[in-house]
Amino acid sequence: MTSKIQISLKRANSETVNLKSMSPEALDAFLAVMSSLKTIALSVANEDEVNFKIKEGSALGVVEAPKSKMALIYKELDNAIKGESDDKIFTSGLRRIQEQFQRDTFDFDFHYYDNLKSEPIALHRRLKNTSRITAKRVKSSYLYKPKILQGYLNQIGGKDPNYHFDYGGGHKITIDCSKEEADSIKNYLYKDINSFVVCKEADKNKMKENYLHKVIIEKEYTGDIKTFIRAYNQENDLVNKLTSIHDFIDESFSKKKKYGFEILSYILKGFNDKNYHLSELKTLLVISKPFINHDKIELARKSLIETYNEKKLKL
Amino acid sequence: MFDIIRSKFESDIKLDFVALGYAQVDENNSHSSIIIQRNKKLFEFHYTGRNVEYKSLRNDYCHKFTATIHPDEIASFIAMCINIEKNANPRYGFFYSGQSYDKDGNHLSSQEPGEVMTCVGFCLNVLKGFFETDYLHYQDWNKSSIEIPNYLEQYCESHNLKIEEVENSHRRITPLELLSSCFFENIPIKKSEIDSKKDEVSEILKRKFSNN
Repeated sequence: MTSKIQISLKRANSETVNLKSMSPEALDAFLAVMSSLKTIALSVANEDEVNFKIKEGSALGVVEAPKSKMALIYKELDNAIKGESDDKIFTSGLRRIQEQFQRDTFDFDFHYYDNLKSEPIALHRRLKNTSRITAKRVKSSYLYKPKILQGYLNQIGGKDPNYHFDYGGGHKITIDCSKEEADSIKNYLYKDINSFVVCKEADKNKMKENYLHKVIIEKEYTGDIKTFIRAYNQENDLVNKLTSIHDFIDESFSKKKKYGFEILSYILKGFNDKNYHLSELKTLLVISKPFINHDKIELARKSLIETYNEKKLKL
Repeated sequence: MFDIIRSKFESDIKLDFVALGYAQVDENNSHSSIIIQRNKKLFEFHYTGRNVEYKSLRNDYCHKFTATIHPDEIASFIAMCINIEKNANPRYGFFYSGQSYDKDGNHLSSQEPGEVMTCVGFCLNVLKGFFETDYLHYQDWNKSSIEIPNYLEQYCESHNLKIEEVENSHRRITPLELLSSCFFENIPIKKSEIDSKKDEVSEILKRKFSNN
């Protein structure tokens, strides 16, 4: 059982189009539409599943395919017209068809026949009247941001290591960590601690958060870092975020030299994650560059360079 | 995208970018600047001989994107420039070279200036501060490398600088050489590479600036 999609160029410059005598312009328009129809059909179905026909007489092109395949093509057409398709090849093919449909001199028909008995579904008016067909941008479905979590550490371990903060009343959070990290974190068991984590937030569902351990911050530095991170997450502009890191480190160094190195070291470790923006990693490398050989900075910076290089290679 | 663009008239990119700029001050003098576009506005970030300025674009530059800065790093480059400008110490005509501290964590703004530099020296130091390795293979330039007669003398005269103070840091790298460096991606960029592009760049500049 096959079904089909059919496009016909009915009129050009108010005259009925006939295959036997077409103006060069009408021929170009018809060929452009047919070639794009081929592109979108083949982006969904295999070559051996589809069949193309040009009907004698009128300028009418048909693509036939098994019913199930054609339903897929139609679904993608429908999505693309709604602006919900993320398939670039399909949407750019359909956009070229749309461009021809939107020319005033031509009058096209565009029908989907689910089966040969029922009424076809007309697509030409929708396609003509909708805004320019484009692929929907696929956003990364997660947001990553730095966070400082405070809690009472009363459990650590597991096959996939993690630790828990228990806030009572059944409210507890889980922070993932590596085995090596678990080994050093267990020294803080039954203590109140502050953890610098990467928070992975599902884009659509802000309630669901996952945490990945980065570094435990000693009490005397927590206040400043917490304040900084809160303001950092409230700022949306990337450059403003980055200048705030510069300012924060400048400020920390101006207070006390030792303090500056501690804070910088925590920030280097806390932001050492491939899910951060390349510019975030780079900014920290720029700021810490004078301290390549400083004992509080050297290792943290080296590890950050590795993350940065890995990330840059994949972009 | 990779052409030399006359900043004020030909730039039609909507995204943020950083580029190196070249301005023809008069027949004998040229000027270097970092050209920045942020939120669709153009800025020039440069050393005037007295101050470090980060201001809306006024001078007539030709610019080119440097291939050494990854598109995803542009935000961090701009943030670094903003920070340099913020901490520059106009009293000494001193600026940060991308490194805000000495190795002990002393803020460089509180120190006496080590060197007075030219506009090119400034741009080079900003670039140097951004990368893990040097931007240029500086050793390739020496006193004999000068090709424009009296370039440095004229620069110092017009900016009221003492030539002895500038000579070492400057190494007579010219604005034309700096712009030509944009064609190369792998740092440190060698003088021989830049030399291979200089004539072509110079021709392009002549053509660009003659279209008014």
